[in-house]
Amino acid sequence: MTPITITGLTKHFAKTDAPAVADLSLAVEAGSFTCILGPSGCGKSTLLRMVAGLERCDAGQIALGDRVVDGSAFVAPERRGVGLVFQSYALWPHLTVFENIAFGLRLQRMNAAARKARVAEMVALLRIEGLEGRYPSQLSGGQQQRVALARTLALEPDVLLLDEPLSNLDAALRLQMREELARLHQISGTTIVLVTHDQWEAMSLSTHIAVMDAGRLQQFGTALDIYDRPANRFVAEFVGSPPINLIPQGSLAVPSLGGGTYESGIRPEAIQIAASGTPARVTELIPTGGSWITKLSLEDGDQTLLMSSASRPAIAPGEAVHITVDPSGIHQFDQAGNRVVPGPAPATRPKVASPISSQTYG
Amino acid sequence: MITQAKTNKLLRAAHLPSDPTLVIGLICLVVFLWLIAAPLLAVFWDMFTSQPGDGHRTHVADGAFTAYYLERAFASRMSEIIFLRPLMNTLTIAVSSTVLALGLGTVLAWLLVRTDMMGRGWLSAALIIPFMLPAWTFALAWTTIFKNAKIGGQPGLASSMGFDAPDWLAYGAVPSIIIMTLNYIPFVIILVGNALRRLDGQLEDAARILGAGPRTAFRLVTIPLMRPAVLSACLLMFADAIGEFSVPYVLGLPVQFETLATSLYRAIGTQQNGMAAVFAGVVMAIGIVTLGIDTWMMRETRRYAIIGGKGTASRETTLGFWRIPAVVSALSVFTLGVILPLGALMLSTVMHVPGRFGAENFTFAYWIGTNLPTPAVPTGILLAPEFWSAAWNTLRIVGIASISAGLLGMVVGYVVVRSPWRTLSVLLRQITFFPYLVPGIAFAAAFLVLFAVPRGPIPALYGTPWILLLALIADQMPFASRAGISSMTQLGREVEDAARMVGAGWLRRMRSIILPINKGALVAGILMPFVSGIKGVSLFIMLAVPSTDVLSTYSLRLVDYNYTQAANAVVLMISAIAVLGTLLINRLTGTGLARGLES
Repeated sequence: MTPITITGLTKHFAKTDAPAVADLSLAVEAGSFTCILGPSGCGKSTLLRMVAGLERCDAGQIALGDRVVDGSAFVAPERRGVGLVFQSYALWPHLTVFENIAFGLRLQRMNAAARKARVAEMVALLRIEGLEGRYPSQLSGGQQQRVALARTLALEPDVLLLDEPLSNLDAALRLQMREELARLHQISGTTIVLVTHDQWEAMSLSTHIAVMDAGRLQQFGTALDIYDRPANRFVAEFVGSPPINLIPQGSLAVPSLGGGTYESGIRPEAIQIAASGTPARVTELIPTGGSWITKLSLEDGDQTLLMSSASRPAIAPGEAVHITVDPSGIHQFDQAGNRVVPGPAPATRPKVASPISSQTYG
Repeated sequence: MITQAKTNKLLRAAHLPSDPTLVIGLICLVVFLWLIAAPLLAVFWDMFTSQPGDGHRTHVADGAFTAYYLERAFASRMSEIIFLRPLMNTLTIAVSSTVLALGLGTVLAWLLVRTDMMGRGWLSAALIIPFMLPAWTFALAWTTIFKNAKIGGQPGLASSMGFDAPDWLAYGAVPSIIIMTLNYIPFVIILVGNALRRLDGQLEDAARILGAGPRTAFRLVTIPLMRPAVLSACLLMFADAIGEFSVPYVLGLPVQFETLATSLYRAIGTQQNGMAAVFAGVVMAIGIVTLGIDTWMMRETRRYAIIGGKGTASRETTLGFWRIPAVVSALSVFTLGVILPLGALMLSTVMHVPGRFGAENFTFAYWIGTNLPTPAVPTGILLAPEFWSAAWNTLRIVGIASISAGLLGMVVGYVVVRSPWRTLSVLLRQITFFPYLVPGIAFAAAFLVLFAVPRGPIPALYGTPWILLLALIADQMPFASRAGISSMTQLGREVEDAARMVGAGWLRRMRSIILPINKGALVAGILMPFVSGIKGVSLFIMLAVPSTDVLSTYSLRLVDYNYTQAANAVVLMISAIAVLGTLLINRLTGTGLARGLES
C-alpha cells in the first residue's frame, strides 16, 4: 500500500522542443487503481517509465511513499520495489515460463524450494498451470500476458505499473483480462497505475483516471467526474463514444452560462427527438450493435449533430424532426477551451491535482 | 545554456548507478581511435615527411616536411611509370569488372527472381558460390589453365594440350577483369535480386491499370525503383575493385601489369615508405570518395522509401521460347565461375604433368605422398608440417581476431543503441565502419607505418602475431559492428528493462539476458569475419612474417616457388573452409549472407 506523489515533473528528450511531460503533478492514492489516459504520444508512457526509473526526469520529483526516488535523489529501477508489465510483455525468449517467473526471485537469492513454491503460486493465480516448461514463442498472446504479469507479481511489488496491458489482445481476451486485473487488484491491494489510450479500458477498470495531452495533465478524477464534468474541451472530446458534439455558441438555443462561453459540447445521448424544439433533419441512421447513432443536420446552418439512443429511433433518413437537449449533457467552454462553470470564476487549477469528488453544475 | 543542460544530462547519465554504458562506450572509442584512426593518420603524416634514409633525395632532415613523395608520384618524369600507369590499370580493371558484373548480374538476378526459368531454386544457391571463394582462387585457376611459355615451371593445361595462350589472354588486364567480374556477379545477384524480391508488385500493377504497357511500366516504375540498389551495388564493387590486390598480384607479374595495390606492396617491399604512403593515400581517397557518393545517394533515395510492405509478389514473366537459352546462359556462368576453376585446380593437384590424361600421370602424391621432387615441400600437403602449422596459425589468429571482433561488435552495438549521449553513438558507429572505406592493402600499410616501430608505451609489433591480430580486428569491425548494432536494435530495450524491473544489475543483465538472447547474432558476427579473414590475403601478405605464416601467405609462397600442385591444394583447402563457413552462417542466421552484405 504505497502512494505515489508526483510533483512538477518535466521531461525533455534531446532535440525536441516540446517536452514529453511538462510540469505534471499527481497524487496517486495508496491501493488505488489509477489509469493514465491519453492519445498516442501524449507522454503517458514516458511518465510511467519515469515512475519505474527507466527514464530520469529533468525537473520535479517522484516519491513512492515517503521515499523520493527521482528528483533530489535517484533510486535505480532495480531498487524501487516497482513492478512494470510492458506493452510488448518483454518476456525473455531464451528462458522458459518457469525461468522467466523465477528470474527475479533468483536475484533475491530465494532458495530453490521457496522459489518453486512461489512460481507455483503465481502460476495458479494467473491460471497458466502446465505451461511452466514452455518458451514464450510457444505461447498465445493471452498466455504471454499472464506470464508477464506473473513474473512481475512474483516479487510482490509495492506499486504495479501496467503499460497498455490489453492493447495486444483480441476482444474476448480483453474482457477476460480486464476481470483478471480487477480481481488481482482486489486480492493484492497493490497500488496499480495503468497507461492506456483506450477510454473503455480506463473507465471500466480504474478507481481514478488522469487524462493527459501533450505532456500535461488535463484532469484527474473518477471515471464519472471525467465524463460528467470534463475540465476542458480536450477531455470532453477525448472521452466519450460517439464523441461529444462541439458547436459554436449561438448555433443552437443553449443558454449561455455566463461571460466567455465560446463553444458548447453536447453529449450524443443528451439529444432527444421531441414533438417541438429545434428543427433538424435526419441524414443517416447507423446501427452499432447494441445502440443506434443518428446523424442530424440543423435546419438553420450546416451544423451536424450525432445523437445516440439505446433503441432504433422511429424516424427515417430525410425526415424533418424536432430535437431537445437534456441540460445535464451540455458542457460549455471558453475560447481557451476551459470549462465555464456557473457562478464566480473558479481559481486556477491547483498545483497538485487531487481527485475531484464533487463539483456541482446546475 | 544548451551546453549546460547537456553536461548536466551527461553527468546524470554517468552517475546512473549500475549502468556503465557510457564508460564502456568511451573505452571503445579510445580503442578504435588507436586501432583505426591513428594508423590512417600516420599514413597521411608519412606522405608529407621525409622518411629515414631518404635525406639525400628529399634534401631535408628525417621527419621534416617534404613534398618530394607527392611530386615524384604526381609531377616527375617518373610519374608516368610509377603512378599514372598503375592508376590507369587500376581504374581500367575496376570500371570494366564493375560494369560487366552489373550487366550480367542484373540479368541473372531478374531471371532468378522474376521469370519461370527452370531450376531457379538450385541456381540461386549455385550462382552465389563464387562469392564464397577467395578471388585469387580464380587467379590461380586461370594460370593453371592458361600459363604459357613466357615463365618457367610447369606449363598450363591449355599449353600442354597444344594451345599456347598469348600473353594478353594469359596475364594482365584481360584475365583480371574476367576473374573479378565472375567474383562480383554473385554480389550483384544478391543485392539486385533482393531489391527485385522486395519490390511490391502492386506498384507495377498500378502502372498497368493506368494504361502503361509492360515495357513502359518497367521503364517508368521498375527501373527507377531499382536504381538505388543497382547504384549501391555498383559503388561497393568499384570500391572493392580499387583495392583488389591478389588477382593482379598473381596475374600481373609476368607482364609487369601493376595496379595501385601491387605498387603499394612493392614500395613497402623495397623500403620506400614515403611512396607507399602516397599509394595508400590515393587508394584510400578513391575508396572514401566512392563510398561517400554511395552514402549520399542512399540518403537521397530514402526520400522515396517504398511505403507499406504488405504488397503482393510480382508476377513471373513467362519466358516461353527463351526458357532454354536463359537456363543455358545461367548454367554457363555457373560453369565458368565454379566448375571450371575449381575443376582445373582439383585436376592439377592430382596430375604430375598438366594435360596428359594417361593413368600413369595421375597421383595423390601432392596430397598425401612422400619423397616428392620439390625440395621445399618434400611431402604431400596433408603430410607437410608447414601446412598444418599454417592452418593452425590461420585458425588461431583469424579465430581470435574474429571472436574479439564479434564480441567488440556486440559491445559497440549495445553502446550505440543504449548510449545516453548521442554523439558517442554516432562516433562509434562511424569509426567502426571506417575500415570498410579503406582497402585492406592500404589498411595493412597504415598498420605497418604505425606499429612497425615502438610508439610511446607500445613496443614494435611487426613480426609478432599481435600486429596481424589487431589489424584483422580493426579490418573486421565494419561487419562485426553492423551485426551488433542490428541485433541490438532488433532486441529493443524492453527485455533489458524488464530484467531491471525485477532487480537485475548491469552485469547480470549482460550475462543472463543480453548475451544469451543474442547468441545467434554473436555466432554469426564471429563467423562472418572469420570467413572473410580466411579468404583475405592483403593484410597477411603485408603483415605476416614466416613465424606467423597463415594458409594464404603459405599458398602464395608456393606460387612464388612455382609448386603448382601444392599451391593449388592449399587454395582448395582454403576454399573448402570458406564455403563451409558461409554455409554455416546461412544455416545459423537464415539469410546471413544477404543480410551481412546489406547492413
